[in-house]
Amino acid sequence: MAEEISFIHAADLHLDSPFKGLANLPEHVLTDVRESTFAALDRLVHVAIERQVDFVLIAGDLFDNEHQTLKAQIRLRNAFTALAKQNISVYMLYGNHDHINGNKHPVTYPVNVHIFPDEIVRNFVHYKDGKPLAAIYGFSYEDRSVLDNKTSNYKRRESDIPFHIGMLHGSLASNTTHDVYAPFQISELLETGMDYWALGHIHQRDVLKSAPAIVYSGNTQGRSRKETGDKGCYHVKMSAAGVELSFLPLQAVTFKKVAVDASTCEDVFALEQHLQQTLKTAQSQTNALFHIQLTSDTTNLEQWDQEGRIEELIDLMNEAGGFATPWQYIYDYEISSLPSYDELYEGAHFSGEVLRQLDTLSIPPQLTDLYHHRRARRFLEPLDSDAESDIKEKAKQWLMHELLGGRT
Amino acid sequence: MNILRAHIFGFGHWVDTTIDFPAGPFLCIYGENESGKSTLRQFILFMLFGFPPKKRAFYYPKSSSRMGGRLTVIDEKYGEFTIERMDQVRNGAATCELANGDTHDEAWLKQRMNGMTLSTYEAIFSFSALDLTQIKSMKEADLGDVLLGIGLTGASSIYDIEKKLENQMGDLFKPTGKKPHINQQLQALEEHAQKMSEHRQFEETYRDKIQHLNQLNEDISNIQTELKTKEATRRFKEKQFNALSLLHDYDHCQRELARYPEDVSFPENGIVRFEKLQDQRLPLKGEWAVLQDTEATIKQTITELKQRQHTEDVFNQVNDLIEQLQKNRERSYQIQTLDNTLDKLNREQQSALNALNIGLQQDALATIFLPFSIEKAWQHLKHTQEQLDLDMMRLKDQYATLTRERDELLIEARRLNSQLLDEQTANDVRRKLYEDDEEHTRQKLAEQRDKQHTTWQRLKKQREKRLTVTMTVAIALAILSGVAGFILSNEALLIVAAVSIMFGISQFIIGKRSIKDMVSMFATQDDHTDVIKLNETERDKLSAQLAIHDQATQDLQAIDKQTRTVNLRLMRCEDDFHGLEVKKDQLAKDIEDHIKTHPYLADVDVIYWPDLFQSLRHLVRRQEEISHFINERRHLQSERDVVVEQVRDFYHQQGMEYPETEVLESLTRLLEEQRNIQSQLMTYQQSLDDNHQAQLTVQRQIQTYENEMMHLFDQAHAKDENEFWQRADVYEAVNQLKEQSSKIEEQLISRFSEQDYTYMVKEANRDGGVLKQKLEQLDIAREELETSLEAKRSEYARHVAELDRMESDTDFSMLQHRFNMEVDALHKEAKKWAVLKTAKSVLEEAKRTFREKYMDKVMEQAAQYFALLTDERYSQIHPPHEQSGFRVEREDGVRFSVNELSQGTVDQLYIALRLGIGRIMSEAHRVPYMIDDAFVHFDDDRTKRMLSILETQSTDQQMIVLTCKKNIVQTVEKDKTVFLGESVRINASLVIK
Repeated sequence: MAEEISFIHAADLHLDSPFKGLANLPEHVLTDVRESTFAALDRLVHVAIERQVDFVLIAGDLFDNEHQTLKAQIRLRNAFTALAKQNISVYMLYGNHDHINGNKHPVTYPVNVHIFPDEIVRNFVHYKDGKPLAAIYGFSYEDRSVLDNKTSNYKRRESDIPFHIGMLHGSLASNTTHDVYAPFQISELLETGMDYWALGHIHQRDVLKSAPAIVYSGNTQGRSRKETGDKGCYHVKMSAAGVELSFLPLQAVTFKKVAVDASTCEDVFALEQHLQQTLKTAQSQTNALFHIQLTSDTTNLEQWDQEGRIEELIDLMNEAGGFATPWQYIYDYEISSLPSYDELYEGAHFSGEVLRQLDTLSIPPQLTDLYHHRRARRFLEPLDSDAESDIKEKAKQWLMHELLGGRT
Repeated sequence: MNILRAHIFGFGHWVDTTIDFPAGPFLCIYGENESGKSTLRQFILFMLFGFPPKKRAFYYPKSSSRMGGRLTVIDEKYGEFTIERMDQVRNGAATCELANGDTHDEAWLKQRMNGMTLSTYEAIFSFSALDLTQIKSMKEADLGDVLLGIGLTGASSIYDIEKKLENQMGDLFKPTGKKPHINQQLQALEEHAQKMSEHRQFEETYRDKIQHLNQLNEDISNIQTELKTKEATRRFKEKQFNALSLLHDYDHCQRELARYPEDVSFPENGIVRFEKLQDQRLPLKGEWAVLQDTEATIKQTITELKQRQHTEDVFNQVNDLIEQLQKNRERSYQIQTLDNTLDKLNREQQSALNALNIGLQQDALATIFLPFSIEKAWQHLKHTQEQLDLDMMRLKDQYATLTRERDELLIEARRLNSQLLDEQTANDVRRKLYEDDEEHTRQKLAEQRDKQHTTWQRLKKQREKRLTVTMTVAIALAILSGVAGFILSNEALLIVAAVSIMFGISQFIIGKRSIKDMVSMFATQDDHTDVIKLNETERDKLSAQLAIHDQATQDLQAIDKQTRTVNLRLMRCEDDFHGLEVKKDQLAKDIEDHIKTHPYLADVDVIYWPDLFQSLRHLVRRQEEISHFINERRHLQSERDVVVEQVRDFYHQQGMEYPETEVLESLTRLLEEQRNIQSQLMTYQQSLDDNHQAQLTVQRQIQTYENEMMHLFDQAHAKDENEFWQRADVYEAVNQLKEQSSKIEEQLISRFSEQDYTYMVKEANRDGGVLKQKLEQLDIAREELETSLEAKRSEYARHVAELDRMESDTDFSMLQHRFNMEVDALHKEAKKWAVLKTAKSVLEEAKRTFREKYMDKVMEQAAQYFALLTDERYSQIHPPHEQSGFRVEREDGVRFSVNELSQGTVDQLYIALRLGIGRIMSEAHRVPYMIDDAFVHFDDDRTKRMLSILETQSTDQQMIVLTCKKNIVQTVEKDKTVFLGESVRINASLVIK
């Protein structure tokens, strides 16, 4: 294998899919957020051209059928056309979110785009200077889910093609945090004899194994509080010497979670100073959405929070700092140092009774007024256990604050 | 747990102080204001529960660097142990030292507290005068709920919390509301979802549009191919059509040639020779033909002239008619004169009628009959009409004047009415004036009485003086006689002393009583009603108001009378009016009758009728004159017509056409013509004879040339000249056809390919119509194809534009993002609501459980305290039930709602409830109970009762009363009291046992 190959591995573009957990964004922030998945795509095209790669691999979930817009596919087509002008091929497959049968818009991509057409594992051969350089294997989701283990269908061609690359949209059979589609085990992937595995589906980038490389590139743009930090693609160079991986951030908006210790803050103004300082330190090249985690060894935070002053402060900061370039916007905060009130639990007094009742109370039946309301249930999802315990905790804080008049 | 000793290193202004608490469970800590009672209480709380740093900083001593202390307590389970807290040490955490030397940390102490914290402790086991003032500010309606909350928890906040929860929840969401935040969000989301679904549906048409576009593309290329084929066909057909006349000529040549024989014989230069002979013969033939023509013309002329010659009879008849016609000319002139006269008269008549302008036509004049009586009748009608109009006008004037008068009266009445006071006010004013008069009188009386009173006061003072003197003298006497009697042992003197004392005292008492009676007498007279006295201006103002009111009443009555008179006159006027209307109707009827017989009167006012009569009579007369002239004219006309008829008959008999004009001239011409014909006939007969001679000479010359011609005919196998010429034509034609045919062949070969030439010559359709039709068909087909192509192309362009627009449209994407954001916002708000709702449910459930567990006990306990506090006036407390609110029961069984109780009783109920919950809670938490000057407003009795209750309760838990009230200290036994002296360092030796 004297040849060398260079390509981009990306996945889970989720073009034009709405973000999760962002309420009441101001117009300009919303505009940037809306445009961010496309901006990431444009950067992907840019780096592919800049680094003169042989081809680009996209391992599924380019858009969401559920939130499909024509705009997403048109922008995708434009991006592919830009790559076509530079003679860069694209090999892509469809995943669970953009499965073939759910696609509403028959947008035709340029000829440099090679799409795995069905659920049968097939392969394309990439030629360079008239010689076969790489065989690329993969399959697309025809329907919402593929539950079979497909690894045994990846069969290496008997030929003198130097590189063999597997593309797969799915998750480790052992993964419990995601819907398990097209499950596989690392050992099974190794058995196929591929030189590189370009995986998609999991949004957190991960190099499962380095030789041969089994890689999740993660998504190109974080879309919820869980998807923090840099998001992007891998630039892969392969030769006889081995695989060289470099991560290239593409995101236009970065989700960030920062912890702030407010113990020294005597008043809300001091807290503001402190927060401003934190944001300044966290300043980066991209627009950023912040989730602030506040802690303190005093009861100030709890007091200010109950009085609505923290929310007010954050609104003010967002108003003041939201227009900087790049902007920084605090979309949520939490106080992780709230009193536990454990010592009251045993008391015969009313506060003790309230705490005990909170423990035994089952939440959902209390909330039917709203959550089963004819008009509201269309938009409200049922609460999961995390949300329930969060509500319980907040109710506890509210009640204890009121019952004890702010004293602990 | 009882407190035994407090050792303060530094806390507020307490520094290095030890306070031993009396051994008993009940104790009172006395100290004046600012003596450090409350600080001591805070110290105890600090020791037991610890303070947060900020609160600790507040109690940092000014004169010491050590903040903290030790509190020794005795616990049922662990016996005596000491809690030590220092601000600097472990952030104020406690260290507990047991009697056996074991030490424990904060957690251990917390366990001892069994879930009691500073705030819960303060709510239950501690209260002060401040709490009572808060209860006073409660609204009545809420009092029951507040008291119930206190009964349950010791704190009044539960009720506030429930209200706050409800308000906050209401602001967020109501199942049927519109205003609350979530309801508004839902409304917005529904609208948004609707919009989004519309956009989605629109985007889903993209697939169809693409398919349609492909279809269009295919259609366009099909049409283009077809169009090309059609155009090629058309070009060939057009060429064919253009060559059609050539083909026809060719075909014609071939056909003509086929008709002629192969061999055609003819003499050399035959035609030229024959023509020469003909040329020589021709002038002779012409000459002979002219002579024959002249002969025929002369014969013809003679016949015609004979035909035109009339008989003698006719000749005479013509002469007579000429004479008659000359007379007719005179008659025509007379008729003309009559017509002019008639025309003039008619014009005059017509213009006279137009001037009248009553729609009367000239012909109708003849039918009009105007007897003398009519003129009279019309004059009478005119007079009646004029009289009626006059009367009517006068009456209207009168009516208007009366109406105006009445209106003025009404306005005046209204003005006066506005000046009137209403009945109540008038009476009030009268009463006030009356009372004021009375008051004047009373005042005078009072002044007199005051004078009397002053006089009596002087008398009273004199009498009192006298009484004092009398008494002093009597006592002095008694002392003197007493002393003398005592010294002298004289009993009589002692008696005298006694008597004089008796006398003095009795005089004094009697005198005082009489003065007292007089005082009371004057006092009783001093009753005085509260009449507001009027000053001078007010009184004048009221009198003036009353005077205006009375004057207005009188004026109103006078006006009323005038109004009635005016109304009566108005009614009379209306009667007259009615009479005139009747007359008017009668007149109208008479007029109507005349109009029936003379319709032209319809548009003429009656007053003009007599004038019209004159005009009409004149017109009728002139009409009769016109009729006379017409008759005369008719007679002349008939005479003239008879002559004309005779002439016409003549023409008819002669079979000539009657000339409508100039008949006389025509007849004269006829006479002249007959004379001419006679002479012409003789001349023509001579010419005929000369012509016959000339004809014979020409005939002989012609015969010579015709013999030569016969010789040429023989050579051309022709029998006669005709056949000779035919032979010549055939010979000529065959030669020409052959030449033409070869020319056409050359042209066709130059235009078509060899294959097409053969087709053209042998097969091609020669019918121009069919070809033209075919070409037209091709043109139509081509046009149709082009139109269809154009349509498809523009549809294609439109589709491409629409697809471009769809592809560049970002609305749906924007909507989707925004919708998602709004849903997230809804989730956020819903969660807020869920937190509040959960809090509410928990609170309700806790309240219910708490009620079940403790309500009866607390109420029972509180009722006992309440009875004691109210000195057994109330015996029971009833917590709220479904129908009734919070109530208390009096000793006689009557129940009162808490709202009906006096503030003092509510205070006691509050205290009873606080003590009740404290008592019940103390079963679980045996911590000391502290009361900080809660009884400052109690009287002695109630304080005593209160203290006795506290003492009773202290059997279960230590009871500490902090007070600045001496009466409390005095009530409590000395050995249960701690005195806090100002700035005095207190230690065990200072505690009074």
